[in-house]
Parts: sequence; C-alpha cells; structure tokens
Amino acid sequence: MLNPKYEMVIGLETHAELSTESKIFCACKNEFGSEVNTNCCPVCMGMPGSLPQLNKMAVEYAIMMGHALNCEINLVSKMDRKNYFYPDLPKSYQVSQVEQPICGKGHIDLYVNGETKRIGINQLHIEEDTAKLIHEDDATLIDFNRAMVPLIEIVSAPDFRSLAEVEAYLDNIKAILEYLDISDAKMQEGSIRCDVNVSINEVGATEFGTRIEVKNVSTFSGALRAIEYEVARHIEILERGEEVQSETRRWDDMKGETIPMRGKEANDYLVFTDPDFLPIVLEKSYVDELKTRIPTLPNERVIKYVTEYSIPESEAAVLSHSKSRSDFFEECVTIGNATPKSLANWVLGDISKIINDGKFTLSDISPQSIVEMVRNIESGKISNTAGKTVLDELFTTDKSVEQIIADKGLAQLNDTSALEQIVADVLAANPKTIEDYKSGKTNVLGFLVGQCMKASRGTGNPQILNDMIKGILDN
Amino acid sequence: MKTISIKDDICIKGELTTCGSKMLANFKPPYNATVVDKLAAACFNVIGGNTMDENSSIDADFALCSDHAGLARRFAMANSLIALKPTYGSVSRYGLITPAPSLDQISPIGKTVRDVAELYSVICGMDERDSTTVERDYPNFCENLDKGIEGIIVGTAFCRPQQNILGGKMPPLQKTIPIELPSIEYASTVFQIIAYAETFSNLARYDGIKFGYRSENAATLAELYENTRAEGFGYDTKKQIITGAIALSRDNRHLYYDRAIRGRAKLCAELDNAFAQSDVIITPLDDSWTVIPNLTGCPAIAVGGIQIIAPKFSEELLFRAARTIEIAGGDSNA
Repeated sequence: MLNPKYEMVIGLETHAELSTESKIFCACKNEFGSEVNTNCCPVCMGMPGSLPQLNKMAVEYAIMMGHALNCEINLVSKMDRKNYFYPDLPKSYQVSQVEQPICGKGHIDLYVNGETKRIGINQLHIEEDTAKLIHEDDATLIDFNRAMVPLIEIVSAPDFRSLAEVEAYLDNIKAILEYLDISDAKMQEGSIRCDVNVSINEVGATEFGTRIEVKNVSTFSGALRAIEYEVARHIEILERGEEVQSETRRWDDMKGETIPMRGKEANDYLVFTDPDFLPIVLEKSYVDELKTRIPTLPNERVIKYVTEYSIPESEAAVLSHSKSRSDFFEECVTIGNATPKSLANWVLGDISKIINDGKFTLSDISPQSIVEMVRNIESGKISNTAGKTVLDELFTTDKSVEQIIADKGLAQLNDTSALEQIVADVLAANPKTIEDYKSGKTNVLGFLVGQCMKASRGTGNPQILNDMIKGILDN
Repeated sequence: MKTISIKDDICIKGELTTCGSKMLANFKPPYNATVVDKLAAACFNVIGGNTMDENSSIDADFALCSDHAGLARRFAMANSLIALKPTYGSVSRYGLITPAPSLDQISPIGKTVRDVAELYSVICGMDERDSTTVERDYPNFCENLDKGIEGIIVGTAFCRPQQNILGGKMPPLQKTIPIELPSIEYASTVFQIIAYAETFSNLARYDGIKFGYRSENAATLAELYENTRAEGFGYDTKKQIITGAIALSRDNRHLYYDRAIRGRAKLCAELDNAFAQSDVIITPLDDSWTVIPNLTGCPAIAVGGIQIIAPKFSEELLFRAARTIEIAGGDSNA
C-alpha cells in the first residue's frame, strides 16, 4: 500500500475449469491441448436446434468445492442465460447460474501474516467456458475445443484488505482444487482465471469507494499486479481531487496495465432462466454423502502446522499445498517420537529434492523409516549429514535405518579422542582459514566444522567438533 | 410407405433446413432432429424442407410442424386437418430450430384423429438430448381411441360474445360445465413478451460468425454483427428481437418480463383450478386460447374448428375426446 491514508477493498471472482471427462453440456472430450476444433459438436458450436445436456460430474465437483468452502448447498438451483455478443461465444449467450446458484454463502479461513483471516464466499456456481480466439496478423480464428468446458466461478465477498491475503486465497483455492482432484488448476493452461474487483477508501471510512472490475487476469501474479496498478491509479485520481468512475477494465499482462473496456451502463447481460434446462434438484443425502469425501484441506492444515507444530507460516503453506507431501508428513507426525518441525524440514528439504528430480516418489519410502531416521538424528546417534546418506539409501535399497547406519558406519562419533586426528588434519590443511579466524572472521568456523564432517564421512558430532576447533584456535 | 411432410425448421441431416429465412438459406445441419430419427426407424418416408403457414397445404399423409404461437393448430384448422400440441416435455425438441424453447413443441398433424395418435405414438418419449423431456410410460395412443368419453366432465370455455363455440355441433357428451380463466385477456400479451424475450436470445447465435448468412459489407466486428443481422432477418423477426431485448433489459424487466413470468404462473394456476372441475376443456381457437396450451405446457388438439385442452400427459383422453367430436362432425372414417 503506497499511501497509508487509504485502505484497499478487494473482491475476487475466480474461475476454474473442472477436469471432468466430457464437457458440461455435451459428450465432447474435455481435454487441453488437442488439435484445434477436434473436440466439438453441434451442441458446443451452438448450432440451430441443438440442445444442452447437463454433465452430472460437473455438478458433483461444484458441490464438493462448495463443501470445501463451507457453502450452503442449494438443493434447487437453475441455469440462466447471460446474453452478449462476442465471437468466442457460439450461442451469443453464456449459460451460467446468476439468480439461483448451486452454492450460496460460505467462507474460507486463511493464515496470513501471523493471524487467521476469514474471507467470505458470496456464491459458487457452474457455467460454460467460451471458445478460444487465436489472433493472427490478418485474421482471428476460433478453437471450439474450449467451448462448453465446465467451469466453476467462486465469488468472494469484498473481504481482502492486502495483497498478502489475495495471494494466500488464490494459493489455497488452487491447492483445494488439487486436493479434491476436480481441476488441473494449471495457470499456464488457463484452467484458473480471475476477475478482480477493486475499490479504495480512506482508512476509517464507513463506505467503500467506487468499485471497478478488472477482467481477463490469467495468472496469480497478474492478479496481484493488477490490484497494485489499480490501487495506485485510484489513489492518484483521489489525490487529484477527482472521482473514480465505475467501469470494467481489462488487464494487459504484457504492458502491466489495465485498459478501459466498457462503462457500467453497457454491463447488462439481459439475464433470464434458460428454458432448455429443468431446475437442478439435489437429494440431501447425496449432498451430505459428498461432504464425507472432503479431506482436511490445505488452509486448515496450515493453521494447524503453525499453531500446533510451530512450523513457520511460509513453510507450512508450501508443505500443505501438496496433498501427497502433506499426507506423508501427517503420517510421520502420527507415528510420533520425532518433532514435527524436523519432520517438516526433511519432507520439504531433502525428500522433496529427491522426488523433484523425478526418479522416485513418496511411495518409495515409508513414513516409519523417515521417523526412525529423524529420531536417530534427534537422539544424537547420527548427524544430520549422515541422515542424508540414510535417506538416499532408503530410496534405493530395502534396508532398515538401523542396517544402513551399521553398514555405512554412520553412528556419530561423540568421543573426542576419535575426532582429534581429524581436527588436527583439517587444521593443518587450512592455515589460511586459521589466519582469517584469528583476524576476526569467526564465521569461518562453520567451514572448518564442515571439512571435519566431510573427513569423518558425516559421523562426527558437529557440536563437539565445533567446540574442539574453537578450543584449539582460541588458545 | 407413409409419407410425412416436415417443416423446414426441423433439422434433417445434410438437407437445407432454412426456417424460410435468408439467415439460414445455406444451412445444412450435420444432424437429424430426434423426431426425424424416430420417423425413419418407424419406416416413414420423410419429405423435408416444407414451409407451412395458414395459406399453404401439404401433399402427404402426415405432417410435423413446430407449434410456435399455435401455428400447427391454425394450419390444421385452415386445411381441415387435425393437429396436436403435445404436452411440453413429451416430444424431443432436439433439432427443432425454435425461437421460443419454453413455449414451442413439435406438433403431429394428420387427416384423422387416428393418424395424429399414431404419429404422436412414434415421436413421443424421453430423449437424453433434450433435458426438458420427461421419462414415463407412453402407451400406444391408438388403442383406446374409440372408447368414448362416458363419465368425463367437459368444461366449455365461452368466447366473447357469449356463445357456444361448438355452434350446435355438440356431441352427446355426458356432462358439461362452463369454465372461465379470469386472466385469459392477458394471455396473448404474456405469451408475446415471453416468446419475444426467448426469441431475442435464441436468435442471437445468428451473428455471421459460424454458420448461416454473413454480410459482405463489414469492415469491423460490430459492422459484421449489425449488417449480418440487418440484412439476414425479416422485419417481424427484428421487431420481436428488439421487443424481447427491451422486455429483458435491466431498467424494464420488472415492467415486462418479470410480470409476464408471474402472469404465466397465474394462468397455469387458473387452468389447474379449471381442471379440478373438469377433465377436458373445449375452447375456441382464438388468439388468447391458442396460446394457453403453450404457456401452461398442457396438451391441446385442434379438431373440427375448436380446441380441446387436457391436463399434462392426458393425450390418451384428449384423443378420445377428439375422436368423439370427429364422429359427431360426421367424419367417422378411420
């Protein structure tokens, strides 16, 4: 926030493509990256006389997301038409849910900057995606593969007061979609997009300022930049003594600016109930059953990790956003006898590194062996460095932690007499470093300990080594 | 082989299906309407691409025609034929190029009540491709045609001036009672507002982008839309589209569209009330009564210059009543 005199008020409309097998109103494949215009039919091309058939899976996915966001699920909802002309809209109307959405009010709790913040959800509904326009030098072409891909739109309340809150919200929405396995949630493929509502008011004001809507934001960073841009623009306008005009603007990600699209008065979609659908009527038992399928969600996990396990906020966020890693971590914690904080460090650090290299997956190691390894480190039986060797072996062999420690001779040397020769050799080999230390650069101590650790193949106790070297050099 | 004439707003794969409009003058659908598939399976010889209005006639054993604003029933009346407006949701609309989806149904037309019953038996039924169709047992409607309507209470709606619309041709009915719909005078207006609002939306797809007519005189996207639609639609269609858009617009919908929706609900309730007192209702085929079956979804049959309306999914009773009048009118063949 540039000027402390003002406060930003942000609301988000987040669209996510659902990863159903087929499209929302026809049997065409819902698939990203197919050859253009191969996944289309008379229905998704809006041909005369064609009629839509609602995909039940899209409804199910929307209800699950509604549960995840603590929404009221409406047992009766309906489909509406939003009428407007654009070449990417084959029927010249978009089928959406405006008047009676499938999910009503809800909320999501986020952990942001040391506290829990509740963001209200106004509604969540299903709708169809538009076709994709491909702009070439002398022509605009249309790819109908994306037309009628199922979308959910999540409309938040204007509850965001900082960019950090927006970022945490978007990260969590993406993570929840992945947890529920209902969307590919890939920004680069356009499977999550958002419209941003921005207004600013003076701190303490009783009313919100004039709201503008920024459309076409296709990346999370774009959303944050668009908000920053608009907030700065609004402040400038207000500081000049002028008024912000209500309008819809478009975000240009390349230029990093918003461009006027249309005024408020043009924004009439002539909405009415789509007569080609019957109302969507849900059984309460079905809706309740879906609720039982919702796992503990990443936003809830972050709060638990920070408050119960003392894991730093940023690490808790990274850990919880991958369900497989987070589940693995929680299994480890349940086994017990190792501090959650160390377990988190291992899961986020070396274990993630090995998995990200692509050769192994979490299923190649057991939570039991990781807990045992961390337990050995925490009890001082092996060093942290030796732990890395154990981890490598756990991925590549079937040996137990105990066996690996024995076979590799990794048990930590806590006996100073056994370490004396190593320390002497390292000091003899690094006269320059010793000079640096004596001239006041005491941070080189870590380097010397590292060298000793290396020489001991990770079996030296780094704390004992540290004390030994310090003792020699300081005398 | 029985021949059937299909109106040019029902899609036949690979054949020009133009709705008699310049906008679709070049449109050959890559799909059959569901009813066309059903007719083919029942070994009907389908003759497509026909225009039908009150001044035309058909040269076939049967016909299918959209019943927009009572067209099929008026066509039947003008040609001394019989037409059924089926219960909404009993005949698939997939492949019917319709301006008003909540009002229109495909109507079977024939020379006798039996013909219409036979044709309806072929085309009715739930269709996955039309979500508004209803799953239920649809009997063979020819079987009980001649059972008569003994014990059936017939409601008679009188038109202004008060006169028995049957003009003395009343068959030997068991019992008649007079019926009134208090809001009947608003029916035409309610129908028009809803029909035009839906027309505005359903015809919006004709934009010169994907299929149908495209104006040659366009330098910009806005011009492409404007000129395509200005050149491709006729005067009446344009008038309906604009009226519909006004009826739906933010500033006006509470005056027009919302009121029409309430009016429709009221007329439905009034007709339900009428059916609490009678089993079928005989009405004139004037503007107001013609649109009642479209607004309420109830089935109606045009026979002998009058209309009979029945509760939803009561086609069997409707055919029996129509057959009774057909016989009373002296036409007892079939």
